[in-house]
Amino acid sequence: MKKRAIGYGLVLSLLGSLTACGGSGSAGNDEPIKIGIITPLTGNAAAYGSGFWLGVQAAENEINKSGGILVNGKRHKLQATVCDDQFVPSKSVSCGQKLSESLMIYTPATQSSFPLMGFNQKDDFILMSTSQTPAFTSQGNKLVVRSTYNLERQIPDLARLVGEYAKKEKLTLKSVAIMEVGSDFGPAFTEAFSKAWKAGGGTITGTASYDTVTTDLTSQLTSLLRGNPDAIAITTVCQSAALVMDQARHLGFKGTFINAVCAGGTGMTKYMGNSEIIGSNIATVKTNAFDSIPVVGAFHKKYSDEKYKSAIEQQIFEFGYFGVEWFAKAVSTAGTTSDSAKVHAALEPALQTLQPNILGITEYFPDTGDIEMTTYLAQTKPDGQSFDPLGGQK
Amino acid sequence: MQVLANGLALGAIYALVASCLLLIFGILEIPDFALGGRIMVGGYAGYFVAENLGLHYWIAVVAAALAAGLLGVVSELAVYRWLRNTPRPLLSGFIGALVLLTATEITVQLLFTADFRKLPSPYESQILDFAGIRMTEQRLLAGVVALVLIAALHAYLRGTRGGRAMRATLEDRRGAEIVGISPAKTALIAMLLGSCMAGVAGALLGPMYLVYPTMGDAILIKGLIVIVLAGMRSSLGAISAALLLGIAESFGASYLSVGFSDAYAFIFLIIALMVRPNGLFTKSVLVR
Repeated sequence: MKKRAIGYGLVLSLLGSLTACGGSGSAGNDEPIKIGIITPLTGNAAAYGSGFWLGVQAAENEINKSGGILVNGKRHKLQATVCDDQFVPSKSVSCGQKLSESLMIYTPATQSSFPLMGFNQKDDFILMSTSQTPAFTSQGNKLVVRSTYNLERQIPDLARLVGEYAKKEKLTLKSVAIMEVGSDFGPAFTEAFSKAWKAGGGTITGTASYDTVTTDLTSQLTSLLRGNPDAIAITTVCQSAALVMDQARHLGFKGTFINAVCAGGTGMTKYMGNSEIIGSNIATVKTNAFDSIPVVGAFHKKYSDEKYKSAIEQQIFEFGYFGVEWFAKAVSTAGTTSDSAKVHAALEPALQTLQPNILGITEYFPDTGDIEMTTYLAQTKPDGQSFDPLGGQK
Repeated sequence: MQVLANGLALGAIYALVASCLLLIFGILEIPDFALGGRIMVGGYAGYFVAENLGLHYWIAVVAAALAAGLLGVVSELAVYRWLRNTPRPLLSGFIGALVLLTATEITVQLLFTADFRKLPSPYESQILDFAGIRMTEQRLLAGVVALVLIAALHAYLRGTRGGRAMRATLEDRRGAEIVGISPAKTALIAMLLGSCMAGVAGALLGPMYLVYPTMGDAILIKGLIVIVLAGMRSSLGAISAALLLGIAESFGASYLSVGFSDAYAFIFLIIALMVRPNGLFTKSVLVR
């Protein structure tokens, strides 16, 4: 009996001390600033989504190691919580509802961010996304922000740079068939690309819909190849893009691939029967693709550990990292841990303190949430690494 | 011609999966959704043997068959055998199979992550070009092996004592028991054979469509559509229905709209069931 009483006493005193610890935390000074991350950690886009989450975690660790985010003289820890949506819209919604108490929710794609736009203003959280779809920032949502370019702003550059590339390589690149991903991004890309490509004298021979879940693309490609295109434009992340390229070659396609999202990575070659195929992949890339840019080189050196390799090759790690770094700076600049509108407005001055940055984001437009960033053309080498075939032309 | 060839290659794989489902359903009387998990386990087993151990593709195919067969036997002994003795075996089996499928997929995902993996095969980079049809050797091989396995299964069912016992159980379970055929043993053999064939399907698909935890789901659904189309009991009908479905999907995607390529199977099923509710390849039942 006596032993049991001592045991109960110990447990109670331990619980008491734990409660006391929790109490001091909730009293206020160091209450964490919460952000939610909605990304596919399982399913067919898991490698991409996990790479993004790895970038977020790296930024979170760095911020917390340096003492947290300084707001009005007090330091607050950053607390990132992840929810796996598998790129399924209904799961994105339930993830969003679960994480709606966060000051910001950050997602790595249109699929994950669009379903949250219905309630992010009502639930008062900033919605940051790597979505390139124009509608993300054209619907008057006051709390959205992109961490990558808007297709409408960038596609004319892509069409122009591809034209320059064809001229330089003496390639016939007039007709393009589009593999259109079945999210909002796909039709938006088709519309913007078709407009820009036709304006430059090119033709679109056909479009075919696909998604990141499908791995047999023979039907789509057979249908597209009947139009005998010079190039196929691809609109999905690297894994799916690699499948399109591999299967298109099997069906006799000899032309170029224009990639809207993926510029390479050794990961791509793993999915191809013949890695030489990858050499015909061209894409627009951001600053983070080039180690020769000092800020990027230093960043990649810092994260040269093997566990970051795949995420960096897919060029998604930096997006996870920089979005969080930018947000943390904005919270500090805004001087509030709860006013999302104030933080949203502070993203502009915060960005100016982060120049130059690994993504090459130069400007932010608070009225819409759009950004301006530098884009380059990249060609992928057979080893999966990308290089700039136009020698720095932007 | 290219479209037809695509459809036939696809249909042969559907036929293989449908044959496995039909065999297991016929003997166990359980709609074995977990077969999708065993296709996937076959894919992973093949991948690790070929990629990590560096062994030849055909050894990987054998390993895939063994791994999936073993999982099938464990599933039968640990789950299905007990569910068949519950008051509502069909419903219990239905739920049990879904649980098994989910458990298999989650376990593999936890162990190996959800990354795509390409099962290396020497036939994947070889392209055949004949009469305007282009196809990798792997795709042709998958179709041929699928049809050979189905033929071998039929030969086993018709030409061996064990096979005849299995057919007897398929025809009349009670009658088979009366003449001394052990239903437990027959179920175990059916599960082993069906699962081994599913494992081979995983290893055949792995080089073309990659290996990942949910790789068996889509093909399983197509297999189920095929056996419903064929009429649940007709194995030769299942092969015909599978080939028809593959061709319909391929032509639909190429000449109608690729956006609905996954819907063609269901549209085909609905139309077929409206015309012949008992299945395309069953004799009409006259109800007096």
